[in-house]
Amino acid sequence: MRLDDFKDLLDTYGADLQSWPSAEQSAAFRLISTNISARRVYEEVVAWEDVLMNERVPPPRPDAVSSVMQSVENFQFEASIQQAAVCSEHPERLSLNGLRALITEVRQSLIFPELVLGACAAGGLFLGGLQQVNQSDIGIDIVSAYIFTAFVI
Amino acid sequence: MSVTGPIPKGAQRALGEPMDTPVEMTVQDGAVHPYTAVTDAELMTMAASDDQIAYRMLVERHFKRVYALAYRMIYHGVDAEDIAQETFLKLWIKRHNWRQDGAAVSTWLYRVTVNAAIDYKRRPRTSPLGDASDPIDQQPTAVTLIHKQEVNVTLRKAMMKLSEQQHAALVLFYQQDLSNIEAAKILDISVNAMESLLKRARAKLREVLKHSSDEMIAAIRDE
Repeated sequence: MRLDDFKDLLDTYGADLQSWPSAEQSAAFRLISTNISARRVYEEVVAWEDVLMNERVPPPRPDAVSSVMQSVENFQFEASIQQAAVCSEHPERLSLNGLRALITEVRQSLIFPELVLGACAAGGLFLGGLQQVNQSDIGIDIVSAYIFTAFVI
Repeated sequence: MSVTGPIPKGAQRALGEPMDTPVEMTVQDGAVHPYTAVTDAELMTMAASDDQIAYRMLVERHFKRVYALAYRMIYHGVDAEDIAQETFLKLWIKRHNWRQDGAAVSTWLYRVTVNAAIDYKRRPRTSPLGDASDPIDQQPTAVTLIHKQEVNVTLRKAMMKLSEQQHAALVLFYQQDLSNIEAAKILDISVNAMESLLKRARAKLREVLKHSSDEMIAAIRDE
């Protein structure tokens, strides 16, 4: 192994030779023990890796977590103020939202709304068809009424 | 021959333990909290239902690691706390859109922290970053302490000469003790790109620190 190869492998795998591929590992150990320049480079990398891994971080303030919770409280409060401001400035939005909520509630109260719609349409067509067979003038009106009712639902 | 060996990665941790798994934690009245055994994903689901206790548990689990990551990216304690706070507030705002099949909570937090720290570093400022000499720790002798502090400042200055991505890669790998796979997810790059980034970062740091290597080697021999 040449010195440049060793530097390249140091950059690739770091100074923990145990994590190197086994073939390169033994060659690296041999180079370190015989080549002063290689040993020097190795010790430099070991040194900065060691300093890096053991660098101390000053502890955060003891109330840091409480500050996070306070920032959440503040955010919630500001959001509610903004919401209130929007509602007071644009009451129509509030009523529109109320209507939308009501529609949603009504829709959700139906069990299988698609099924109900389909059944109404089928029933309307069936009864309308019967009326047409009987040559009734009001047959078309009944069919229309059923289909209309189905769409409304 | 005597060759100084490296300390295995993860053998020592400067601040904060990995807290992705549930940990025992107590509340003010001294009782063990009922959410202690709950996973991050489950806590996030509860937080999505506006459960602030669950959210607080998440903050308590991850705050130190998020703060440490921010600190190691910018080397400023107060601003690192601000970044951590901003990150957790974003988590709260995002809670309703959180997808359980998405990234782990910790991965998401680290990603947001790294990005916030990078934004912070890009802001114009009067004093250069990396000059902060926060109290490191209590060592037995003043000489050793001063020496270690000098070495740390040298390393910080060298780290600040790396690109933002290279700096983040080294911090995630060596200081946050994450695997290449985890670090790649946080930086939103492939594992191959992460390995390549680490290689370039190591090469650059080795080059920058070439002239300071004597004091570095002396510092670890002092220990």
